[in-house]
Amino acid sequence: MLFFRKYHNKKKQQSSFHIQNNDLSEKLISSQLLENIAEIQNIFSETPDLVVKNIVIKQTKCPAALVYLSGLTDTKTINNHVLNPLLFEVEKEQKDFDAQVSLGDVKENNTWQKIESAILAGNSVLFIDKRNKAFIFNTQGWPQRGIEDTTIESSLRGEHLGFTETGSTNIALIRRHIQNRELKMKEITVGARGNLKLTIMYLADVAKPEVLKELVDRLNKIDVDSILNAASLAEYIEDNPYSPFPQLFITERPDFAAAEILQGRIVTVVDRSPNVLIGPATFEIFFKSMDDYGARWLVASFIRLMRYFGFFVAIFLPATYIAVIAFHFEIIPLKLLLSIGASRERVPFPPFIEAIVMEITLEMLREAGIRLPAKIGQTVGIVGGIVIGQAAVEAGIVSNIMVIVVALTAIASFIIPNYDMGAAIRMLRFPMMIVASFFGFVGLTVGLMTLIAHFISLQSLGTPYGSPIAPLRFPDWKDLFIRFPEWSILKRPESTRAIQTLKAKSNRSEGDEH
Amino acid sequence: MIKYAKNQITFMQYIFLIHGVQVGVGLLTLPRELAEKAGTDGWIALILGWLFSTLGSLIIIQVMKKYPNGTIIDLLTHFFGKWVGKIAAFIFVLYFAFLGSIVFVREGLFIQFWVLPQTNLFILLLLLSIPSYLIVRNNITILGRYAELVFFMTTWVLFFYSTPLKEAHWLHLLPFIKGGWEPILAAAKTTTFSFLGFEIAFFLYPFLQKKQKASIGIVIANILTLAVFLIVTIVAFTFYSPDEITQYKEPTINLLKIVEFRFLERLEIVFLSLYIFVISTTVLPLFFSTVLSASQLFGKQDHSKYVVWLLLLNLVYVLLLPQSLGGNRQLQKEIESISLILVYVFPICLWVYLWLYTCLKRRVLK
Amino acid sequence: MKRWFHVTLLIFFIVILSSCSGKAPLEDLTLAFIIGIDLDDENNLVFYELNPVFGEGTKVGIETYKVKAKTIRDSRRLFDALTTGEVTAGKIQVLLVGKRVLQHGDWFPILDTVYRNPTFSMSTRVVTVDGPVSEVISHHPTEKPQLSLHLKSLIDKNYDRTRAVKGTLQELHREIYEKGMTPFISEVKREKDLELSGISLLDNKGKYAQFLNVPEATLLLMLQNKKRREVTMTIPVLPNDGEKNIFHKNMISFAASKVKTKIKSGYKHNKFYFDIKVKMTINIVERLFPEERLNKEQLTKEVENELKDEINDLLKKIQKKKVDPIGLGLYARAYQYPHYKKVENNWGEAFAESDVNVSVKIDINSNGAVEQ
Repeated sequence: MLFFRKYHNKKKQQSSFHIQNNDLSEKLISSQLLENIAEIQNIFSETPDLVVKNIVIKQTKCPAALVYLSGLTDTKTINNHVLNPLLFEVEKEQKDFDAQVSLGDVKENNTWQKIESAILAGNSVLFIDKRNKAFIFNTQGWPQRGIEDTTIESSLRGEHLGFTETGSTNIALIRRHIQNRELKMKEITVGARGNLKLTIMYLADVAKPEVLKELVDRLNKIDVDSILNAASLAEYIEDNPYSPFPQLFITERPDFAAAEILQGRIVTVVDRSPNVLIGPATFEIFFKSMDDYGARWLVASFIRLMRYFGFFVAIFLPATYIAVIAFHFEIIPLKLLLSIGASRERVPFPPFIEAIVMEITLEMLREAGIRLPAKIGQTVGIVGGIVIGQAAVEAGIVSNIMVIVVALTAIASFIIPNYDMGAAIRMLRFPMMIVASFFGFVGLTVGLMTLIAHFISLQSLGTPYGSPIAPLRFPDWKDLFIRFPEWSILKRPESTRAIQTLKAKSNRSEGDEH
Repeated sequence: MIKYAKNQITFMQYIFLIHGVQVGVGLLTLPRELAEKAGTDGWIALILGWLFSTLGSLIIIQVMKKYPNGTIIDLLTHFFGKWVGKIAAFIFVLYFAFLGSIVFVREGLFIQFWVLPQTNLFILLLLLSIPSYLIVRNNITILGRYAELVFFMTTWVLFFYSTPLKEAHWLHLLPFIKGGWEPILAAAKTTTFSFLGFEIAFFLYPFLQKKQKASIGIVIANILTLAVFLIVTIVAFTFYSPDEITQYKEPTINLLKIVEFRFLERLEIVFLSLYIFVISTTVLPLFFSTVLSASQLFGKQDHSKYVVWLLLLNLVYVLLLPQSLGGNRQLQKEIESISLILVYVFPICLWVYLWLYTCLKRRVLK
Repeated sequence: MKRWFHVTLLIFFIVILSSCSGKAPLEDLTLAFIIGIDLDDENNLVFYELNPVFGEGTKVGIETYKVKAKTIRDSRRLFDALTTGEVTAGKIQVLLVGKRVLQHGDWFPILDTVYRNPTFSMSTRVVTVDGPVSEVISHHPTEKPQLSLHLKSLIDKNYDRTRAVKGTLQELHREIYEKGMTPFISEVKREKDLELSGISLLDNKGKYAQFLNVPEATLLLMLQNKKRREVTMTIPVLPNDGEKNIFHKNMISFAASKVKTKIKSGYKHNKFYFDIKVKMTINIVERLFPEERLNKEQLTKEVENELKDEINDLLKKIQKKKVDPIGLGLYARAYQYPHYKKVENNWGEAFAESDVNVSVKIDINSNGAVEQ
């Protein structure tokens, strides 16, 4: 930790790391077209994809130049809506506006800095002779994929539209769910080279202003070259960087993001990333899935309970196995003890080694399965199944019981709907296994206590992470382990610190009696 | 001066913090100690002890009401001057540090005896120090959350006592008051000590959100404690023969040795591991009060540094002096008389003084 | 500075933690399932131990050892010299005590280590062996489950049927220390097969006092209000028709669904007296004689008398031996404390002198599915 900090300090000292030698911040464009073209070519030297198209505007007979980067613009738009009107159309009445194009988003600007970033962002810029302002046309158009079904957080009943890599599309996907003027947005640009556009979305009359201010402050503090995705942005702004738990919720589901905005949370849309950040996150939202609200409440509650159970199984089962075998075999009832004893008889390793070997094998298999193409992935699964399931047991390297334990742990960790939380849990079981192998149940208890100590002091954007479990907020328990019927949840959770708590009125009809 | 308004505890956290400090390591031996003194009438002594402790608690709250925005040390500084405050802080540091350390070491000794006989006590305490440090270095809010969480995590363990209750012999409790009131009063002295821990209210009061509920909160905490003590004691008294119960050092643990489930036997091992949580709610607030007093003594804002020193001192103490349950018990006996002064005599005197003081002041003003 | 301190502390932790070692894992242990204590012909203490041997696959064999040692703890040393793994006591299911051991009044202190050492299980069943312990512990019929399992479930099943006591170490401890009652444990013997023969009553020191067969044991347990599931009894209600009748046509069997024993204690004429009222609700499950011979009222009367006689016989039997397995002393203590306090240390004799009145009340609930 020490080394990192030192390194970090050093980095801060040379704070001019991203400022280019050619400082454009104050420079204005000139009224001479040729000078402007020269300047452009100066700024974008060695940029073969820069297009400078010299034209004469038919309306005014003025020489002009259209500048854009060829890959980032939509050629059709430029041809049909910019070049075509400029080159061929003459209108009698309008004389005051000399760049008549059929585009909605047209801006005027005269600083080189703005023009540069506009070109870099995929706009086309029109310089006209004798004018000291340039027109910026929104002709953005880059290779992008269409909106597809969500891949990581798939759901049965939820929306089947996932976020894409285009920020404006993502905003639209969220806005479709909340058609309200209180849905406000703040734009922040982060990264000196990356120019990443972040859009903070929140309900102005619901979200707590302190939380919003905290988030904005933290985002403004970021001073880096570029951030490539939402997860690394989260790392910059989370409260405790050493915690194993994710402190901001990263999702690819617009419906989930919208639901959380409605609860009073704040969503940060990260341009160029198919994920958005939701904060302040609490521990419990990592155990929710959109399907909980798509199923009947009894079913959903049952699944919720299983997830929490899975959480404990995934963290503590291998550790408990080690503790019991190595320390407290007394607690196993006789018949079970006989079968465990029989299956462990040939195993040459102590339980800790046995468990570590199997758990690491499993983790490697899982990782191998993710990155490989689907066809090879299947092979990995088969090989893994044979290695773990049969050969190892038959060779007497591990016991049958251990295989069951490992399989249960794996299933239990995959039941957690959020990938980050699932990964955190899978990682946490290793320290637990270590303490269990030294101290048995006492080690497990101390491990749990340490986990709790961390859990209760953790915060997300200054909001208690453990809420509503610690601090205890019973009204929020309506949507915690058991999901109560939707009509019975009238208030927003306290955990989000929403300033407007009421969200519904009880207006359910009384059922059979009427 | 520390700003207390920033870190607040809720009413529930306040209750569970006090209750947590009261229920600790003493519960393990309580039934035997009562039986030794008053036989199966020991439970009556519990109720007497509870009455005393409730009275004592209420007096403490009355005292604290005179200066609601500070701990007892701020109160003393306010009324008697800086030096009295410093001396009081010093006394409280010593008192809480000793009390906390005794329980801390006993926790280790119990675990060593019952669960991990081969492990060195020093290493066990070192292990326990890690979560202790992580919790105590934070502010009171975190401690409050911890107490709350642990209460709900561990209370269900009481249900395990329903198994021995199935084999209860209620005849053991009869006749009531078989040896007259004398042994009961003797046992009441023991039970008074069992209820100790509510003096933590000296330090919790300024952090409480709704101060008007302080009295009712402390009474609820005492009732909860009484309930836990009564359940365990009565189960032990009805399960064990009155002639037999004194044979067991920790009947509370022995009781669970007979509990068996289809999938789990020897519950006392699981129970003791879980009991570490219960004991930690005694130790950690005591440690917190120690470091809070220490930071007030030295006039520092941040108390986390003192936590490290306190834990290190404990470890060095265990490393240098051999520890035994008997010796530990002896130490506690000695500190109990100090407790009596600090918890009953001192607040009463202070209360009377403050009462006279305010009366006189009012008269002078008139 | 602070960071360095943390790093040093962390390294310190790791070094210390890695230096400490755990216990031996399960597979390196030899789990004693049964311990036997007996005396040989020259009155030397002999200890037996039975433990499982895990073989190929899931097959589990067993092996037994026999050593001469001075104490239980001492015997472990000798067992360790014989077995593959460390002998551990955590899972002892049954403790067999030879009748010859029990005939010596001061045997109980042998068990000291069991109570002193927290690794021992308190739910180990203590069982008397009528005859040499070696005969029981070496009884391994192939068609039965492993001896420890068999013995344990033998006792537990009969306990559920109100025919035997669990007699765990915990109960034994209580009964030995409790002045107002005397201990009793189940008794097994091996003739051709291993069988549960009844209950052995011990006096308050633990010395063997009396044997009760299974029907008597049931009565005793009923008096203690320890009925578990339905109690089934078969008793004669009519005089037997004659020697040549090979079918016992005088018998009736019933299942008592409800047994409630109320005991009242008193003190009169310098001795205690007890009123024992047994109230039973029974269902007749077997009746070998026709209904005409006894109508319902008569039948009730007969059953009541028969049960009363049997209970009286039982009481006489235990009073003669000055043992009180029912725990009437508890009632005496609860309601006649000052008088009890005087005889507390000699409760057995005080009980032997006391008057016990028994009354039985029967309520016949049903006659079964046959109309007769």
